[in-house]
Amino acid sequence: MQGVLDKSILLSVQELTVNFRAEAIVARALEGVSYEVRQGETVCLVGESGCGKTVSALAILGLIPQPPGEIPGGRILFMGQNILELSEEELQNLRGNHIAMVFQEPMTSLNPVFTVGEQIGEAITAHQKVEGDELRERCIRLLKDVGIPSPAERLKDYPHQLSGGQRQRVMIAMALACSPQLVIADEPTTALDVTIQKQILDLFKTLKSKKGMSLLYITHDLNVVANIADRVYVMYAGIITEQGKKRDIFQNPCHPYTRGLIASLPARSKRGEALHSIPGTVPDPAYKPRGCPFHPRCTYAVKKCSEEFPEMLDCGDGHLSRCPVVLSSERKTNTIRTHEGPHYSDL
Amino acid sequence: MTTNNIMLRSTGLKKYFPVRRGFLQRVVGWIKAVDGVDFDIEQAKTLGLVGESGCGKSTVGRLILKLLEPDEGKIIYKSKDITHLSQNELTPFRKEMQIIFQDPFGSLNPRMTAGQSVEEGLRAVGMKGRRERKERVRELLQMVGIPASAADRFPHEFSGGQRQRIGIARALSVEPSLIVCDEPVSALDVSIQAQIINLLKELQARLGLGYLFISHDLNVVGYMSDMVAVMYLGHIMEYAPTDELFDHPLHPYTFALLSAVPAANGTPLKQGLELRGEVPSAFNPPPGCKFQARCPLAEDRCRRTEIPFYEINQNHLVRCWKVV
Amino acid sequence: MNTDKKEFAAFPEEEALVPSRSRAQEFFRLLNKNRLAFAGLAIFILFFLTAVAGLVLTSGTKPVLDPALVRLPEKLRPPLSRPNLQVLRPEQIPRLGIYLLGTDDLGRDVFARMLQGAWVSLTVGFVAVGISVVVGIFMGGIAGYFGQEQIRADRILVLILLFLGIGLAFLAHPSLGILLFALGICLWILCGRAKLRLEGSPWARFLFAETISVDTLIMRLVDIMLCFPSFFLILTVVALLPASIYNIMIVIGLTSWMGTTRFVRAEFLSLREQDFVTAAKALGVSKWRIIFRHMIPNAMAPVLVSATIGIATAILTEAGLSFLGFGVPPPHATWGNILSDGKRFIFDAPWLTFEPGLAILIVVLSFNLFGEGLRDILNPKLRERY
Repeated sequence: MQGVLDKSILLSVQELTVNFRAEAIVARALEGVSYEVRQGETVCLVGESGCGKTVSALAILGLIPQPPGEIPGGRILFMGQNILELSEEELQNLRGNHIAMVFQEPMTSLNPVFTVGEQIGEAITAHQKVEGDELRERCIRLLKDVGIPSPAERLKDYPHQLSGGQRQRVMIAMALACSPQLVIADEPTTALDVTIQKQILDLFKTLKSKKGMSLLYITHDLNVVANIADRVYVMYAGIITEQGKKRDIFQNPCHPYTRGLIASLPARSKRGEALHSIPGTVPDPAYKPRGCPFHPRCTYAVKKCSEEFPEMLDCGDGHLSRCPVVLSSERKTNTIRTHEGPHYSDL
Repeated sequence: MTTNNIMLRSTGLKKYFPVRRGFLQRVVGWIKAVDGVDFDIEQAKTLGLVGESGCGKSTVGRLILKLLEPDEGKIIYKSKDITHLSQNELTPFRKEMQIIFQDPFGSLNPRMTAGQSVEEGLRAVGMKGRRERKERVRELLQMVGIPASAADRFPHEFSGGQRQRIGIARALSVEPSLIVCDEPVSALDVSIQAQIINLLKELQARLGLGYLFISHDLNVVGYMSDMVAVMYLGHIMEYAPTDELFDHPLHPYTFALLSAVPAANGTPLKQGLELRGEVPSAFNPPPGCKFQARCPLAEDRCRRTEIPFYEINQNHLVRCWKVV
Repeated sequence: MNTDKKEFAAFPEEEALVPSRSRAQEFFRLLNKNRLAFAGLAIFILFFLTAVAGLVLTSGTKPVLDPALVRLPEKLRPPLSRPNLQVLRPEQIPRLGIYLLGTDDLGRDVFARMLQGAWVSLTVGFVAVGISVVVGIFMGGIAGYFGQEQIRADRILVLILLFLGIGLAFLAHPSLGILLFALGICLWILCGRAKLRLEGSPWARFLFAETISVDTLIMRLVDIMLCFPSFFLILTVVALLPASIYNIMIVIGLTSWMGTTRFVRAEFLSLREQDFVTAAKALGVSKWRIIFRHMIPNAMAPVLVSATIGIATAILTEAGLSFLGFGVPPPHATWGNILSDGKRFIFDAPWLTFEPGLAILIVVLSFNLFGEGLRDILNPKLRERY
């Protein structure tokens, strides 16, 4: 946590723990998750369903319902302020204004009984005093920014009159309404077709360079990560297993889980050979194995893995991995690069 | 396209769905879900059917299984025309062709145990003995990697990947030779996806199954298929062996699809062509090429007449006159 | 086949399975959490036992507790009062030695009458709802499963003739009714025979034209049935038919199936698109097995809920009819007619109105609470949670 005082760090999640409780069963959704997002950076949280990536995003917006949720530990610092200590009013001011979110389902996240114009307008007037023609102008400009053709006419449309891709663009326009410093996108392209996904990913890239905002992008799709990320955090069963720059994660993965994921991606080039597959299934958050949560599925596992929870270890250059076995066995062969130069700036 | 071991051939397959409105539900128009589709599936080979949502690829799967009645065209299974067979006459063909589904939550009856679901197929082919059936169910479950002891459990007690395996066991119960795989791995996590793909590949090698592999994911289709057909709004736009299609795509739509697919190594499969706009509705489409509204090469001729298939070489067909 | 196991075991065979918990365990766990529903169920069981006891104790030629025994000197005694042994003949002395719930204006034991009435309420509730559920599932199932089939014009004609015939035969003109019925059957056979011969002629175009779908027909019928204020429909029918407890059950049942039909149709429409139904079709499972084994069990949850609440409504309807004097004929006691008889003495003998009123209130309330609870328990969204 050496970077707490660093001015360029916009969001810093530190040792966040979230539980969901139902009767006697406690589902440990997040166990000491730490990550940070810097100014103007795209950070990807990648993991399979149930790994806690969406929960961590909801926690940033103070949207974890309590009960059944509870946050027994950790801090979420946004511009130096701990979000977990804010009152509901202060959170209201934060949401939409400084941090905005784009959801997966473009069908259900827009209200079907209001026009597009009214919904974008509301996103603006929730935080700023803008009225009449000026409000209309701002809405049109936002729609133009997200690449919707003839935006003035679209303002009067209802959500059902738009296609899936256009609805997702409207959602992005609403998120951008108050020029937030951080946009959290939770699987925004999962429900879309590939050609539309490409368009939306390109839109995120242009918007980010144009507006200088940071993007926390949550996805399960490694191919999308490879397209959009600057830095990547790989999550498994409520912990971060590996983190680093995109290049490090894809070309020199140091955690067996990341290696397994990358190796199990199907591609035409692998035709004819069996795909690598990770055996078993993701553990139930209420019944996680002891020690390293990945050890029952891990081909590298040794006895120690089932006994003690692994520490985050440095592979150099801001590339961290939670697997002592891989690191100690491969350090001799020198596949791990040594620390070199400043962090993160060269991607 | 003239090999002897063609298992299933579809020619000019069409399916229009009526759109009904009003108090007495009158027909006001047609959705042309499948609008003239030709392909062959060879013995123990995989035909990948790829396209965006709403292009009619799932409808094709259901048509060749005769779960939907085709409006026009022919389905020939092992040189027998099964297009117009009644449900009773179809019974012997039912066990030849099976289907597995995308959604592991909807594909199993929540009120039946895993064993009972698999047993349904055995009953359907008339396996009489109760103990015989139970024994076969255990074998089938083990074949797909589910412990036989789990046969008495209900679907909600299994994970998504395990449910998908049970669905596969159910399809295998009647010993089919062709399986329609309707997006079988799209709803699964990456690590589980690879398990199911491997299972399908192994089963194909061992049992000599033919697959019609329907998916929107070009990476998966590229891995699974021997031949690929690219569908758009009810038409097959391009039809070629996998490597040919990925290395030398001809149709602008194929090209655009390939350039839209992100790949883990960072570079897309193809670069250059980007599509604007989205898939238009299949409700009363305009005449001419289906792709005209989004095609960067579109000209007058594309808007006037339907474009036929052009045969580039023996196995490569493309529905575009501009690139020939 | 044992070799298969090895060859396909590219992954460990014993994967982690979610801890097993049977449906019944799940049901009782959720029921336990929902106290009101549990109370509803408990009262329902109590009511059921009371009603059965009532049937046993009050029926026969020499019942243990005689609800019809008139003791004129002992009329309008309050609850818990002791019988005056001087004025009663030995066979008139109540078996319990006490008027537990008092006596009415003819000196009849209200406790015995309430017990007899409990059985009436129970049977009316269950038989009426049973009829409405059976009709509802049948109609809803047909609308949901065969809904897209078009009905030909000749079939509609035949149907109208048959129904008119049956209606007339039973209600007004037996001979005319039978004539119409026979005409309908003749037309049916004729149309079947003539179909091939008439092919292409303008007659055929009219007769064999596809008119409306089964679904449209049934749902419009439901809409029409819902237009009638059902209580007055029942009053009308009861006025035409001889008063008997069975007629009332049938009439209540036949005027309350529309809700169930809508539920079942909606469930069937969504189930028909479910993958497991498609899979069963692809396996070649027969149509009826699909309907009975795959669809109906999955459509039962909302039906069960609406049936539970429907029982409460049926009990209320029967009480209302009896109160108005259209219900079960007098010597037989029901909660409704005890209430009705008691209203003349509401100031002198308030227990005659309060006791049946309270019984109806408690039973109806318990059914409603249980129904509401059942709705929550059967809701899969609540079930899958930890």
